[in-house]
Amino acid sequence: MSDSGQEIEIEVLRYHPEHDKQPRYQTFRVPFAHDTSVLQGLQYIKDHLDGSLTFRWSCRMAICGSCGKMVNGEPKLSCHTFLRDYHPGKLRVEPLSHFPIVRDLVVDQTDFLEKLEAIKPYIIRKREKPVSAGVYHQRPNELARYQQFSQCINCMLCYAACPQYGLNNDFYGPGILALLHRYNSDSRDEGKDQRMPIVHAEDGVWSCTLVGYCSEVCPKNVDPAAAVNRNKVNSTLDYFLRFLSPRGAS
Amino acid sequence: MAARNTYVRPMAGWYRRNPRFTAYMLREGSAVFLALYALILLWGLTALAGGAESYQGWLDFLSSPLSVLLHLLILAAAGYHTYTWFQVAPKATPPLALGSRRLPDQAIIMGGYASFALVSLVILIVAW
Repeated sequence: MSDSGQEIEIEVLRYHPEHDKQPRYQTFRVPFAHDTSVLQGLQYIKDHLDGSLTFRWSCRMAICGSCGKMVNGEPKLSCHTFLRDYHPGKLRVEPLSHFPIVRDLVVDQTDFLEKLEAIKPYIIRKREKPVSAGVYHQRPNELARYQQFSQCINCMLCYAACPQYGLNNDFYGPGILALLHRYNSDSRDEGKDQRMPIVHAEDGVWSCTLVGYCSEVCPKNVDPAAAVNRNKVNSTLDYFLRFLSPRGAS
Repeated sequence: MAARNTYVRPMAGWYRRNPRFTAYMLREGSAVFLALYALILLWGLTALAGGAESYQGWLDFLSSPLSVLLHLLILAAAGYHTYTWFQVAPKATPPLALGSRRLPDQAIIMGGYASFALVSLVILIVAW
């Protein structure tokens, strides 16, 4: 990090599970250059000012989805957000909203990971083809049906943007339902029957009230709000089509 | 893994925390005015069933300054609600293909406004 002589105040939420009853804020003065990310600002604090500051990060290039934080109240990838954009004001960095805080900027991801497992985020075949039978072919228009939704990096920014998830943690939430839609829309997949009960459930798509902020904060343009709300259409069709066919719409 | 001593932040006042959430609550809140308008119409219908005198009472209410103010409020709320309704329409619309290209969101929004204008025009002509 080159020092251009400029400094910015970063207010960081601190929480130590063994000493603190509730979180508090601590302010640091951090030097920054034009290309200094919020993540690098936090790394500067950890390296030079307070080694006990705890936060997650990995790739530093908006691919891994580890470094999501609230920056001035907005969910952001901290590697993809720059200190220059907050100067001369200050910025407040907090852990992602709507998740329990483990320590400082680290949240408990257990709920998200359990839901991710529940939707079976992999291609399900009724009968697997042997490797010798070759690959599964897919046309460009079949790829286009799910490609956008396969860009998710599980950064959980959409959960921090979803008040319905914050109010009711049982709600499957935007990212997971978008991934569910991704597999259901894949022409190679035959597991839709196993996933639709989650779509239909009260805590499935019907807990969404289309706030729409999830799609705005998504760093990968997945548009989870569209995935969830198109499945309200699918869920409704399934409901009415069961009167015509005992097997429903699927 | 031992139970973690995690901290869960309260949700109280969440709709004031982000301007995006406040806009959402205004959007949802504007629907209350639409419901109120439906109730006023329903009241008119029951007044009509109750005879000329009760119907005149309803008409008198409609021309009162309070009612005019209320209807202006309802018109503003309905306008805002309609705007937000068309803005979110692309999210609920299945992807529509135009040849090999996907229909852009803006086209779905404009399609909504166009059908809104058309239906309004037809109603105006029929009711005039």
